[in-house]
Parts: sequence; structure tokens; C-alpha cells
Amino acid sequence: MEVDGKEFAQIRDATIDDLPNEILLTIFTKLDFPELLSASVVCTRWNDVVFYFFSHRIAFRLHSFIVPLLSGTRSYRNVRITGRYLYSPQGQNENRLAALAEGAWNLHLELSEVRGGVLARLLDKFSTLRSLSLRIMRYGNERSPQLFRRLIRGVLPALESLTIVCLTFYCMELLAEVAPTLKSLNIKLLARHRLKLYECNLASLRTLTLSMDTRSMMYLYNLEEFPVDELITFLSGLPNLSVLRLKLDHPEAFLHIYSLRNIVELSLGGLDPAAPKCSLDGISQMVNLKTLSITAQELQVPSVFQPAMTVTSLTLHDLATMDIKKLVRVFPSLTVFCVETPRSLMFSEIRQIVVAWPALQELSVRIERLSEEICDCFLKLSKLRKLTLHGFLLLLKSGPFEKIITMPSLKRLSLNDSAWGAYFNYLPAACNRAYPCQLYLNGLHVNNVKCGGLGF
Amino acid sequence: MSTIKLETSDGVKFTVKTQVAKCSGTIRTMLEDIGINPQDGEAIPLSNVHSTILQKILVWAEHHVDDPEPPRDDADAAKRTDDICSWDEDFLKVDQRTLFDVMLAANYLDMKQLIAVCCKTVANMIKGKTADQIRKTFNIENDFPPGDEDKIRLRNQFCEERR
Repeated sequence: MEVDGKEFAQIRDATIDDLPNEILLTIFTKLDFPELLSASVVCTRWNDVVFYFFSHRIAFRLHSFIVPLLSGTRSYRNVRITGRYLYSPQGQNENRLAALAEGAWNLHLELSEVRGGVLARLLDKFSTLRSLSLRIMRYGNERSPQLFRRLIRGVLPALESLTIVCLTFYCMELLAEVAPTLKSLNIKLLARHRLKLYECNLASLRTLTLSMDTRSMMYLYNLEEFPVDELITFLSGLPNLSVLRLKLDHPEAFLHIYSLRNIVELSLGGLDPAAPKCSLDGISQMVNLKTLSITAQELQVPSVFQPAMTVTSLTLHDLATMDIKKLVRVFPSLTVFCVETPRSLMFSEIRQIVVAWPALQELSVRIERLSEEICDCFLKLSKLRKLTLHGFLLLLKSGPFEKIITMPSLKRLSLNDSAWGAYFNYLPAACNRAYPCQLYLNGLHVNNVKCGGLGF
Repeated sequence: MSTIKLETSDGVKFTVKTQVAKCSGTIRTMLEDIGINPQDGEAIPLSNVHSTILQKILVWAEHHVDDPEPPRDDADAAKRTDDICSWDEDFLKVDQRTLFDVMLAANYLDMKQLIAVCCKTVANMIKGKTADQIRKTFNIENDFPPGDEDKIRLRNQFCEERR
């Protein structure tokens, strides 16, 4: 570069206060949560920036139901109330609660016991809620269900997402009231309450997570069989449903699920323990399915192969055995494959996976050791971005680790190892360079290795 | 190799390779979209940038001119602060005044990669410090009305990360 002109003139003094909000915001994005809170106490501007732009990360937490005396009129998007018993708020406490509720978008309520009337009056204050999560162990005696129904009429008009563990009629009444605006519902219910669910107007619903305890119905109420057709009629009557996660101790029902053609993301599993087996017969009917997750001990691959071409992501949990050669004929287009077997996969299976889906971008497996030969298999996956390995003493030598972490395509390597202390000797040295890949050990991001040690 | 001239707020003219100048989104837009013709010998006025800072920024741009396009937004990568390359680390070992001037100029010139690396540097200066230490580090005035700071601390005790 060439420079001409006069001498450099004196420059004015810039400070951190001169940075515009968007840059301050970029800086704060890089802080961990406790650091973010520290930053909020520095000055009024930082306080405003933190609470305005990071409100999605901040939850206001109340134990029991006593609202502390708080300065200012700060409102919180997320409120979390936990405790044993919900008392009816009174006097000043009620005013403070109303102030807190104003402007809240998400409420998480976790209580041992509540009376319906008190719950209704509480929810009434949170009229701007978009998301509600209710975990209530027990409802106190209430004189009349009709009263509760009347109290919750028109409550939560903007609610889009509801998570509910439903053990009593109160929850079903609440669900029926808020159902029409819901886009997402996560519900765990007893099978004897199922008709209440089926009757709800859930026309906007896109995501349904349903755990239905059918055993209690069968054993306690001695019904012969779980009425699968009712469930399928209900599900196929939801016009906008695209994500379905189902936990049901009824593997036969899964076969009928495959007739739901609108589903894009499907997850199937039993309650507890995992379903013994799950058949894939007919899965190719789901012409829009992209993501499939199955929790079962055994997968039954159809005898007549009809490939599910649209499925790009497959997750298998609890599987005892699997036949890669058959799986690839059903799911030829996978780019994401996660398999959690109780046992470690053998080298031959890893090799089959690599041959079956060479375009994999994400892979998660349990292996015995990261040996040279397994490592060479992974290296063949030229598009691999995310690799997760489960095991015990995965890395006895640093050679394979070096090879994996320097893979050009890899962005994230996660090692979930029950013997991570064993790496202490050589991992810091191996990490002491800036790799494009991020390393996670047992869920923790390994950073600041330059400052000596791995921090554990 | 084509060059263009840039004129800073204090009237200093820089002659730089066009390719280097195009590290700045602002200059790139001027050249490509608005169609300012560098051949005319006219200098592009950068009225918000001082010559000492532009000189520094051009050194950075020359070093990074052949860098590949950064990957698309990645939530993990956005949070990371430990991946500053050692050249940048040395480059940003300057007094705070210069650092913030560089950031302001980089913002005006729309140089995303330079802003990103500066933000990481500042985040690392904040990390692990108490509010008092942060104020001292950056010479920030505590402008809360008396008593408010304690109330905010109390209120923050009720805040947790949303799960």
C-alpha cells in the first residue's frame, strides 16, 4: 500500500461505550450465562442490552410462590415456578406476580399440589403466554369441575405450545380450552383419558409428542385390547401434523402409523421398557418422511423391500442386533445415522456402515476402541461433519485420535467415554493446536486448552 | 493488478490493490453496485475512518485477502472464542483505544471477519471477570442510581439459564 498526504493527524479516543449495540450483542453472544449476568451489572446500557436481546436465555425462577421485591419494571419472557404447594397469591404478592406475569411468553410450573381454582387464577394473569409447561403431581380437592371449566374459559388466548403430564381431568379441561391455537403439544396421559384428547379441536397442531400408558388401562380396567383404530382416526384427522413422537406399549399400532402420509419426522418407542420389536413393514408409504427414530430391541425389516427414499436421518435406540445390509435396502439415502446399541459395534459392522452410506454427514456409534482400522473406515466418509463415539477407553493411543480430529470435513467430534480420565496424559498435547473441529468430551466443550490442561 | 485510492477522514490518500480493498463490503458495494470507477484516479472518501486505523485495517486485509469464505452460521462456532489464529492475536495486541477504533471502522467498512475476531478478543477480556473488574478493565462508569446495582444483583439471583 502507498500512502500520500499530510502527516497522520491526532486521533480521537474510542472506548467500549462507542461500540454500537449490534457489536456489543455479538460480543455478549460469546459469553456463558453467568458471565452474561455479570455483564448485566456493569452499567445501565449493558443491563438493557442483556435483558432486551438475551431474554430468550434468561428464566426468572421462583421457589414456592413468594415473589421477591424487585426493582424496576423489568419483564421476563421466561418464568419458572417450582415448589410444593401453590397458594392463592394475595395483596402485594399478587401485584408483584401480576407484574411478573405481564409480558411473559413461557411459563414452567412444577408443583407437588395445586387447587384448580388457584391454578386458573394464576394462568389468567399470564395472558400473553405462548408456551406453558405444567408438571403437577396432584390436584387438591375442588368442589366442582364445572367451576374449573368456567374459570379457565378464554384463558391463554395466544398459547402455541403446551407440555402437560396429565393425571386428572383438570389437565384435560385445560387442554380442551387451549387446543385450537396449539401448534405443539407434548402430553403424557393415561389411556382412560384418551377420548378427551381425541375430542379436542387441534386443527393447528404441527408437533405432537404423545405418551400413552395403555397398560394401566388394560390391567386395571381389564379392557381386552387397546383400540388402535381410534388413535389412527384421531391422528389422521389432524390436518397440519408433521412431527409425531409416539410412546406406546403397542408395537402393532406402529404399523398403522405408517399410513399417515403427511408426517415428516417420526419417533416411535415404548414407554418402559423399550418395545421388544418394531416392524418397518410399510414404512415406504410415508412419502414425506425425512427423520425417523425408533426405540426397540429388535427391528423387523420387511421381506419385500420397498425403499423409503425420502428418509435421510435414522436414529435407533436400544437395539440388540441389526443387519446393516438389510437396513440400507430400506433406507438408501441416509446422511445422518445414529445407533445406540447396548453392545459395541464390531469393526465389520462399522465397515458395512461406511460402505452402505458413503455420504454420511453425521454418525453416532458405540465402539470398543478407536483402533487404526476403525479410524481408517471413518476417514472414508468424506462428508462427515459430526462424529459421536460412545465407549469405554476409546482412545488408548493418540494416533487414531489425531487422524480423526484433523479430518478436513469434520466440524464436531464428541467422545462419550466412561473412562475419560485416561486421556489426561496425552490429550492436552493433542489439543494444543487450533483445529477447525470442535471437541466435546462427555458433553463438555474442550476449550482453553492453551491455558494449560483440559480443565477437568 | 488494479489499484484504487482511498481517502481517510484526515485527508490521507492510500493506494491499495482493488482485491484488498474489496475485503470491505462497503467498498465492494461502491465499486460493484454503485459503479464508482476506480480508473478515474479519484479517491474513494472514507469520511468515518482515520488514517492510522485504515492503515492497520489494510495490513489485516492484505494478510487475509486470500482467506476462504467462512462457513455459514453455525451456532457452536458463533459462541467460540478460542479459535483466534495466532497472527490475529498478535495483530490485536494493541491498546484498547486502537482496538475499539478498529472495530468501529471495521463496522463502517462492513468487514465481518475482522469484526468477528475483534468481538472474540473483547469477549475474552470480559470472560471470568466480575462486574467491578469489567468496569475497571474498560473504564466504564457505573451509572446505576444509588442502590439499584444491589437490587439488580438480587434480581439476577433469581435468574437462571432457560433449559
